[in-house]
Amino acid sequence: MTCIVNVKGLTKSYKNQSVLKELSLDVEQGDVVGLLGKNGAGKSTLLKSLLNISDIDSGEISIFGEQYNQLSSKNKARIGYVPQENDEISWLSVKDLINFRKQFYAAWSDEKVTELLSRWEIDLTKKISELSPGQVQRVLIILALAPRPELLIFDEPAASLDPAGRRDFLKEILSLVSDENITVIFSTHITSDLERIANKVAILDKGQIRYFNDLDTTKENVVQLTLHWQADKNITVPYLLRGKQFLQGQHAIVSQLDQAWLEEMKEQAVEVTINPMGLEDIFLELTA
Amino acid sequence: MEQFIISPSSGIPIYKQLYSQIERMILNGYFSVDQRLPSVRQVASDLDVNPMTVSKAYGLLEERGYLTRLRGKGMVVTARDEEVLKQEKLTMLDEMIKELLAQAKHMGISGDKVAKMIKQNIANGQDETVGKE
Amino acid sequence: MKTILLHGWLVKVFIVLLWVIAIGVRITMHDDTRENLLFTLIAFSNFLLYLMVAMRLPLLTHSKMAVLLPGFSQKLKQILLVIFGVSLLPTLLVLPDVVTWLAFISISILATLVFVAMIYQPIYQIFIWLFILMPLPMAMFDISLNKEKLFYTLAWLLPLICWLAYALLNKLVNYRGNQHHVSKMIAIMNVSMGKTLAVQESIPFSDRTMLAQWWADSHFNYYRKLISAATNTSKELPNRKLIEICCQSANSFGANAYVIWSLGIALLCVLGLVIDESYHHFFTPMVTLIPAMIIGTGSITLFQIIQGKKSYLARIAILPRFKQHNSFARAFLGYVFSNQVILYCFIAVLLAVTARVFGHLNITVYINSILILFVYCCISISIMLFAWRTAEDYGNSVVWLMIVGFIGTIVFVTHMASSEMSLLILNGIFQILLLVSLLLMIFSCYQYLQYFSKK
Repeated sequence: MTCIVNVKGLTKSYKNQSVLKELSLDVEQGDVVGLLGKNGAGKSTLLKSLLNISDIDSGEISIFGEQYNQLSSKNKARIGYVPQENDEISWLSVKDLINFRKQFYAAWSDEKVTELLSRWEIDLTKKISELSPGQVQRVLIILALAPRPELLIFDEPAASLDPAGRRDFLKEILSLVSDENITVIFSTHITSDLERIANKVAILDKGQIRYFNDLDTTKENVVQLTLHWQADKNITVPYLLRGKQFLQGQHAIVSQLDQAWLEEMKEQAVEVTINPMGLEDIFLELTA
Repeated sequence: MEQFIISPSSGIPIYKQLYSQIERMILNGYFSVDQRLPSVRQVASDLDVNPMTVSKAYGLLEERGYLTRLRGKGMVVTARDEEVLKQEKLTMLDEMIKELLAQAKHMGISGDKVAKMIKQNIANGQDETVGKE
Repeated sequence: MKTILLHGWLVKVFIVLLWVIAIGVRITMHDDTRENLLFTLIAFSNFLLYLMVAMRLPLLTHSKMAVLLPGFSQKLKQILLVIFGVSLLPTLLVLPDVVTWLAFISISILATLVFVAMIYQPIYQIFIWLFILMPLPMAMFDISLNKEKLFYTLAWLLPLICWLAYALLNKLVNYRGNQHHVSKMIAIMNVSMGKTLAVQESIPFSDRTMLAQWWADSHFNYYRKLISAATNTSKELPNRKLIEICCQSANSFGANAYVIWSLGIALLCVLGLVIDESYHHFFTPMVTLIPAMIIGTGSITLFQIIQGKKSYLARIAILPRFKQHNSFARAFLGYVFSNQVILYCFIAVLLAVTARVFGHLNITVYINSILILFVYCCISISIMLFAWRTAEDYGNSVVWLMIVGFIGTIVFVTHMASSEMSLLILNGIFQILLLVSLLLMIFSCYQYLQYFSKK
């Protein structure tokens, strides 16, 4: 699998505060990576650094195999970005803004634009300043998708959308993913969205990617265990995150299921019940 | 259109949920032999999930012998040996029984008591059918 | 409360600086020649203080504190009186001339009344305009102004003015009216100095006045047509134009601003030609203010607009249109330079025309003024470029430097106009200054290009 985004040792501080510290990340083609992190963890900073919108202190970043700050024009056109904040030109109408943005690209899909505009019922003649935050977000998404990028980077893409809008946005991303094998990185704190569309989850905590794994594997490994034993036993649980003892038993939350240990527990007549956790709980346990 | 139901926020990965559902549907004959399953894209679009997840579920079903990939047609239900099918159904029930017994033990109810309850339920079931006739 | 009213150390430093200079002037003054300078310094610094406090007043009178705290109005009154009292201390410098001193106090009180009224009810801004335009009717109707008599009258009116002010003060600390306008003022005041002039963006369109909307629309329509035309003919707009579109705002100094200013100056000149020459010196303050206002609205505002759009421009810079590694930087510099060069040339032409008509600058002073403007232009572009490429926000400092810079320029030019001075270009010190400012600007451009070639 080709590596689309490759980050090594990314370090960035802002006003003497360390935001990202020796961060590493590899995203392969076709991946849909959900970036989770607490508020202020540095998700936006990470994405902006990748795109060369923000400066970094040190580190190596390559996108499509090229150095991130020396991308060829061709590769620049393969990237689509939807920012969290709306800093777009507010005095242009939707139509004018789209035409304006088109000037910056050699290839642009008018069909895609028309399709999305009609599906999301956006009035072309309205000025950006007259649109609701949800509609503005949709316009920003259209602007990002129109050049048919192969790498999509979204910063809290559904923050301003209502549940129906969010679902619609997810549908759009999913159809792009299934049709064209594009790579997506999106930061969010809406874990249910991530659970639907992401195949990998990255957790940004204290300046580093503390956890990066396949989503399904994560759900199968980061689980809650309930142990019961009869006689007095001294049981240690491997990969323990958090545990609570009770009489002849224990609750435990682990970050990985050790099959060998499970077998051993069976032999020792210790009952182990596995309770899987949803992503939100997993995130809370991993960043506690 | 077949309706699969998945819960994205469940601790059980979506592909596993799909796998279990389709497995069950095949075993109880909801999907007949040689029936074509909806395409990956169709299912993904209906459920609003990543197509890779659906692929994974289908792939696992193929691995376990439930589905066969036919060129141009997609995934179809495999014709299987009756014995093998029966064995699988029994295995499934066996799993459920194991869980039931574990739960009972948890509650402090003996296995014998459980067996007695099952017998009672069977008897009641027969009475009902007799009653209906 | 005092912290809110006197917030902003840059302002305070500036005011104190002016006071120190006033003291300096007083000490070194042996006769009447620099009396006007002293008056101007004191008046200006005090007015700045009053304006600053007046602008912050709505934050207090219309805050929740005003409603909840008992004794709030009393406390506010006390603090305002204390601040006013302290501001009167520098006026002692005009002693031993008691009459002038009393007149000064009267003027100060009247000024504060106008400033505060202006903040709460925009209609009172008319007073400022009346004051600036006062020379005109005076000249037309042949009213002569005797400074002595004026100060004398003001000194005698002081008790009446004091009483009026006190009565209004009591009303002020309990004033809660005109919520709509005050909220707008608070919105403007809640932004730091680095953003004040460009804050119109955050005021929703419907809240702006009809005039403001029309002005903004006529400015934007040019660009809207540009985009439509380019789309219809499938033409590529040049990089510089694209960046220009990104940097537009309702407050931009565009074609319509140039037109209005030209018309205004033309009108003024016609008046100047019609009126008797002896009254020309009444026009001097207005004519001197003109380059200041143009720099304020055309240069400082540009800085603030672009400073506010830094994040957007950073996003645009990574788009594929900018093929070479410094295409964006070059286009951006091109836009800024062409914009500012045209602006300063416009000012130079205005100065020439008004000097011809009103004769407040002779040819030597004019050339010197142009040279000083050139130095100012170079330095201001340098610091603007510096602020634009750093991640930290130096907007405040830059705006203050620019304001201080051109106030200094105006003071210097005024001083030049009233004294004998040779061509600055022949002066060794000035030559060095000219060279340094030019080099500074070139270096700034180079740094900016370097910074962006890493992108």
